[in-house]
Amino acid sequence: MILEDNFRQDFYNKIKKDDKSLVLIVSVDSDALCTTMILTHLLKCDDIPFTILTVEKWSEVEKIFETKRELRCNYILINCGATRSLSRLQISPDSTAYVLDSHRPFHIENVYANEKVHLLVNNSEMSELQLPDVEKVIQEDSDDDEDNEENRGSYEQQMENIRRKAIKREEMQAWERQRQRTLWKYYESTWFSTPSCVTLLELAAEMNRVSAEIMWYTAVGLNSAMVDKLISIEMYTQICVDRMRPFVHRFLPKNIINQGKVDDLLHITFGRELPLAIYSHWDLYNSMWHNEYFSIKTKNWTQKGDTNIRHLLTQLGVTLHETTQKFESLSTEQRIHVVDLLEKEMDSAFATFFATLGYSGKLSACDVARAVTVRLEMPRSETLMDRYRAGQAILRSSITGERQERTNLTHTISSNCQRTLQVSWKSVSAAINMSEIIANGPYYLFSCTTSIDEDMIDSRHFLYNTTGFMLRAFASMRKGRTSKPLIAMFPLTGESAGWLVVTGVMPIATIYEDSLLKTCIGRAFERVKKTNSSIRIIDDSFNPDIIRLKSEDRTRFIDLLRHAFEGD
Amino acid sequence: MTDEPTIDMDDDYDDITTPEEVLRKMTLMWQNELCAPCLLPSQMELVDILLDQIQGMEDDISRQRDKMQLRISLHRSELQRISFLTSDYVRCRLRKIEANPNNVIEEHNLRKNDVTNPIELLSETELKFAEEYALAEAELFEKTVIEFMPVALKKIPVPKPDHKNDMVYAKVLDDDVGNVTVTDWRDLNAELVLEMEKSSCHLIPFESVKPYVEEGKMQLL
Amino acid sequence: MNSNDQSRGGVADKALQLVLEMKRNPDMMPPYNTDLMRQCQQKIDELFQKNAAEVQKISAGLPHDPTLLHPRLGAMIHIRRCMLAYINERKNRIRSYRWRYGGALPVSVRNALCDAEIQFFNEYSGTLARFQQGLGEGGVNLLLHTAPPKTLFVQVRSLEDFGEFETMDGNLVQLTKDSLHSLPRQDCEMLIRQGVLELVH
Repeated sequence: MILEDNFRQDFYNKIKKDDKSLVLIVSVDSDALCTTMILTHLLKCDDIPFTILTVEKWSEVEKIFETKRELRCNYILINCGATRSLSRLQISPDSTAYVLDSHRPFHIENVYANEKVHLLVNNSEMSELQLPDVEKVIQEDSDDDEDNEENRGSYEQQMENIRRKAIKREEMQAWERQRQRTLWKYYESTWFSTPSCVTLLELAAEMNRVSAEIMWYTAVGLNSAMVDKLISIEMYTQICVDRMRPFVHRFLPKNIINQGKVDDLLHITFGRELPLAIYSHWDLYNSMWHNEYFSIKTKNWTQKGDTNIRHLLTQLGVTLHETTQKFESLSTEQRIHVVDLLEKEMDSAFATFFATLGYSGKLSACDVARAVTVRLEMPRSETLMDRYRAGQAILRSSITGERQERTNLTHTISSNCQRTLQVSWKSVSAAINMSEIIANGPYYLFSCTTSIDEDMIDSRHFLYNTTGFMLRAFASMRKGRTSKPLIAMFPLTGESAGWLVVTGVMPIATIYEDSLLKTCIGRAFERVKKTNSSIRIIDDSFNPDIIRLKSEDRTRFIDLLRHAFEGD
Repeated sequence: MTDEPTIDMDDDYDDITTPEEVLRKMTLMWQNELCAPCLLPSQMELVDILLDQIQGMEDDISRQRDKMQLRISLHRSELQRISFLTSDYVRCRLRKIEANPNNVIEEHNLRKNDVTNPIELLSETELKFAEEYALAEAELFEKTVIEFMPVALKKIPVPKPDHKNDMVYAKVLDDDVGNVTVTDWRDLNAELVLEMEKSSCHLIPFESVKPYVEEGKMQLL
Repeated sequence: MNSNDQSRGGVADKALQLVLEMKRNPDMMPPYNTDLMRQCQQKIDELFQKNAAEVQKISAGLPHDPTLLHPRLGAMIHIRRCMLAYINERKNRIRSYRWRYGGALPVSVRNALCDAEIQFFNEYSGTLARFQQGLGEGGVNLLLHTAPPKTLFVQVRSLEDFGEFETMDGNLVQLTKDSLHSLPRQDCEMLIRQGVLELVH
């Protein structure tokens, strides 16, 4: 069932008063991490004991419920659980599951058929959900009481009964067909809603417990959804305006900013920022080189790339000297000047949050979100909990300023984040230069031939950014490439050699139209799996549009996917 | 801490009437014990009273139905603090006893039989502990070293701790401490007389203030 | 030196080694060094025999050389002191293990002890247990409440699959490897010391 608003009463106070142990099942992504940080802060304030379990796959969630079957628990699932039916998990009778998940759409059984599952939804989102009416999708059981009368009464009555049943069956079949249509439409595409941390921020505000830290965690969580390309810039801005605004001014002491005085306190400000990844921790040249916008504008994967980008810089009036040295080492005036120029060039309306802590440099929530996301997803050799703890440490260090932890943060940005961007750019440039993207009926297909680190391929951040970048770069080479989706396949090496990671992005034209960034790729994969069960597909990820496919089944998969898209 | 159960006082502690007073004294004694270079007279009666109280409070809390009240949380925190206080006090004393059990026992007997001012340095349980521990220790040394020594070398002197030169920071709590004498280092036969005003602090040889510390008139820092 | 004393090193070298052995391994328990201990005993015996022979000569009125009597005695006392210091330091560590692990010694430590030391541990353990039992009405576990409490709850990470664990409030908590928990401090103090849980901040 759905909980709309009044989370304090129906959610928080319930878990607080209940005498059951509290288990947080946390998907390892930045938004979930930020949400958990806020939630645990609230729980600590109230002296409520809890357990945190980290998960990355559906099978891990299932395993947790299997081993905990006999315990009386309140579960809180963070960024996992909403899109598949939790009824199958056999939650014990005394337990309740609260689901705070930004994955959409909800599984219909979680909405209507399961009293033990509570989905937390902001009521402003209800219309977007387009939930089908309950009577259209859920069958009521109590209409078979006539069965007992069989073989009784006169011939006419029996005939009457049979006829009535036949009508009934007909009705049922019609209803079933209707139901299938409704569900098909309902499940057609998947998308992401507002990041969960925003909901938690509002909950904390309702309880008067918002602090600068909570505010910052939310800012990072929100930005992480943005840098992962889960939500569109329009939606991001809308959330900032509609839901974050009440908090923006609270942690920004105006008088200090105006006086230009520096102190050792934490300030959170909200302001314009270049949509240029980690440029303040890199040099502008590299940052622009690997940026989607500039890369496509200068087509820097071609031989003329370098000349083009220099040309662009000259046009903008930025000296090469300014772009090749570390951005941090530029003088303040230069920085403001250059950023101004680039902002005009990129014509962006992007604004984000900044944390200033004493004398250490200003950090943008966007860069921190990148660092946290990358740290949470890599390296795979570390256990999930180790990565979770490391991500947590980085997130915390961005505002506590402990030197050791701070070094970790800058190190993550300067090595892992840069590398991710570089690998992403290289994959795109290789794909285009070597014409590895081919049209296959209703979609474009990219099969990666070079081997990429497994760490990257398993990272949602990398996959979504690379495929999105790739489709745009591909479309920029020739007109008329905006109406088909791109399916990308990356071969895995090492332990899981013989498997491919498959993902996809919606056509550019669709992306422009839709601020929710709905995608039907996941549904198409699912359909392929349904039509031919012999194809070996692992769909264990919380994101239905990232699956694993056995390499030998590749050709059959490609054909069936074609049918799946054409069938639409 | 107003709704605590009132407690039956031991006869020796007629002068202490409220739980707050017990706790205050315990805190003072704990602090003194931690800072003093030697074992101070036992305050195990205080510990017993507090342990009793802890039990009572725990029972009270477990009877409460709504466990989430702020009041309960505060009570629990207080409970934890008192538990720490008493446990640490006892642990500190045990450490001191273990450091030199024979000497401690000896001193205990000496002071107990003092005619003018008999004081129990150890409580009954502590004395038992000290004796048992001294025995175990002696046995260990006997089995590993002494056994193999020639007869003439079998006797080992008990080291005598010397607290003559130990300096402590002390704060005067009582009005009537009066004057304290300190050895004058320039002339070892002479003594200096210091006036101990209330709430003044001194860096002073422990021996000079020992009686006041034991009475709780001075607090070690 | 006496002409028949062939050893070139100092007379108490072995004894010094014993002390150094403890000093050089400050955070572990080195195995009980039976060999060195025996050599020290032998040294004392040897010195004692020499002194005894000298004394006999004196009492028999034979020519004698009393100059080495006192140095030998001094050496014997010095060696004995080293041996005692060795045992004493080991004893202190054994005591600290009782506070860290409770009544059950880890095998690695147990293997490093000699019989007398194990017996000492058991006796100490029993003495302490009896003392704790005698405190208050129902006894007090002095191993708990070892740090000044700051918060009621601490954050811990489970390092192994410990299984179910019941807190004092009667809540059941499942401790699986790599799970994070926020639990009442006194409940997990023992588990932290045993290495099942790890404090995180």
